Amino acid sequence: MALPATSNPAHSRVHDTIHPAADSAGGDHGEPERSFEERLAVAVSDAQLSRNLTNFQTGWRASRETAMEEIEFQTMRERMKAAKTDAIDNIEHYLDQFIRQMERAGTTVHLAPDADAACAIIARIAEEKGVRLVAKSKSMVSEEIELNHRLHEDGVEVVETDLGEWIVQLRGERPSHMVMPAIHLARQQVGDIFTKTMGREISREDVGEQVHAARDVLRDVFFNAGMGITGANALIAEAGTVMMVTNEGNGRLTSSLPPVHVILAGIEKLVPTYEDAMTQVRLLARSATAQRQTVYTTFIHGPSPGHEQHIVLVDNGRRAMRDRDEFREALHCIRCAACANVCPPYREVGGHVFGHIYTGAIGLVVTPFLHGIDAVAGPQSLCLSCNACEMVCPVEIPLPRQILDVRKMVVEQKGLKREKAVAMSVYSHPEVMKLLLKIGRHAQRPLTHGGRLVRGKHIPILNKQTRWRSLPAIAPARKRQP
Amino acid sequence: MTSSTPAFDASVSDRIAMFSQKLGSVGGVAVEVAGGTDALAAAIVERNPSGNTVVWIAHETAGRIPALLDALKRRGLEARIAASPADVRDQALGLTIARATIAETGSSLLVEPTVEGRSVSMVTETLIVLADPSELVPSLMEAAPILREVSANGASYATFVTGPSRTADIERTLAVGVQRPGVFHVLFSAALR
Repeated sequence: MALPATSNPAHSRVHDTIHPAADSAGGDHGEPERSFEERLAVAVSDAQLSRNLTNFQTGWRASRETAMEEIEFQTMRERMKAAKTDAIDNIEHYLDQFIRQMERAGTTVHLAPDADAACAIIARIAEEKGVRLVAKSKSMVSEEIELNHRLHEDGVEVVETDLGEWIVQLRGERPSHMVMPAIHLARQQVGDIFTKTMGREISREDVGEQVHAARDVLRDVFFNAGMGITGANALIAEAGTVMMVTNEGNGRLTSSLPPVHVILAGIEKLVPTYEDAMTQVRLLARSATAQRQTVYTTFIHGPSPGHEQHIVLVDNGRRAMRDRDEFREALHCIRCAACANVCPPYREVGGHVFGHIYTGAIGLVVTPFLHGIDAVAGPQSLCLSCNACEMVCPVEIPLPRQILDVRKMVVEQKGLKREKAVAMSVYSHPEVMKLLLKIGRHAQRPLTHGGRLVRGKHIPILNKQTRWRSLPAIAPARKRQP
Repeated sequence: MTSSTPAFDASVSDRIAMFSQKLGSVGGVAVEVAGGTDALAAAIVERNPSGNTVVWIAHETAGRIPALLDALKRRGLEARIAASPADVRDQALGLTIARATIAETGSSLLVEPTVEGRSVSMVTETLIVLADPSELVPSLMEAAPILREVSANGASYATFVTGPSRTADIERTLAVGVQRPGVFHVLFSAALR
């Protein structure tokens, strides 16, 4: 990665710390993404990953239950769902209202139809302002549009200031979770990467020491950056106000200290009123980090005196999603990632496999619209349709049904594997099915024992499926009347 | 915890108790300070980190509490106005006033229009927030109209602050003071009226 030349010693020190690792898993810096099959193979053989995620999910579920005791979850999520339904059904109206109010407060508003346009707008602002260093707080949209990569190409250094995001940036990875980007890592792995990049010994055990070491480095970034980029948790239409929640305070620093502040947000983040935003506050932290409330909930309405503010409102497939009835409700998502926190397959393989940039159940649904069908073809196959995600979703998105609709899209566009196609074709022709069962009932005899197929014996077509388990044999007599 | 005084009606005292409990559960401390400006100054000095002689404050805040700043000076704590974020960077003590407080969450609503004023609550090690008990609202829903009013007249920057800066990004292990403040106090005082 090329580093911009600078005569400022503070800049040099900061830049020296942010080289991504060479053995990258494929992140937002232009390296080729490994195939789904490769990522899956690595994940299932990584026992530590599963341990880390099991600990996380177990702890999260208990904490969430406690946090939810204070509110009527069902009442609250119905209220939130109603607000988001109104916002998405009338998105052009609320978008106009939001833009008018924001412009009145002095913010420059940009509309980006796709990822390239959004990146180009921000790159142009950076160029016009002579920005060489950007402080960035967490923004999933910036991951979606691969903004860091684009700015790096222009010689602009981007430093993630959310602790978890910074850790995965240092490792050259993408976030594995929308809310806790480094949850797949153990403290020893964090200590390793901090020691390597800071050039001094950092504890592998003491999380407090790791956090304070990170602060020392990030302080310089906040004070020296020419631009701060933040995301948005809600766009409050009635006032033209951006709501942003953080726990660390990095969002406030990022939106305050650099002279230019750029807000990056998907157009689906609209809510009609402040009251709707309060409902979101009640649900978001409880669903995301199992807290009552995050430490900082900030309401930004226009630039600070002497500063400049831009907002880039991104479509990138969202209007297309709104126009599909079966997927429209996915735009209600408030990005809490609760759906990942209860997902059994996610626990086994993590977000680098279960999703593509957007992870968890909602990731499987939005990915075809944001990143194309190929990006979701593999990951969607991991869903077990257990429905746990819908139970915890704070806006009641019918995720399991939508994932099946995504599966349908994948099959329609990519086709089925040969053996599945043959099986489905047989199922849909009862006479053929009956004949094959009759033949199979006799032909299977040498391969069965005690009513089950013997594991490991060669069975044409089903060899892969019978290598590691004993499938039940075909019943000796039909149970169903013709 | 709080000590009720005749100055407050029961519902306000209940709200303060609830606020203190909620803030306490996330690592902040809230107390009700009975008495006038001198008592409030004494409570601030009591929470001043050892050896520190300066309290940083936003220009817009300083103009509202000249008597309190005089009382602090008499007790050896000099108020300095933050002229830039660099002034305040990692300084020991900051002082600000909440526009409102919210019992449901233990949050203080800080309205901080300027970056230099805002830096007091962003990068000091210990932050003391002063709050008028009569502006303590029961729930987030009562905070909505206040936010509406704040943003009604041009640009604004408002934040619910609920405890010290924290992270659990590494193994869900809690670490406090990640970007500072690491120590967070709210003092309810009728002397602010």
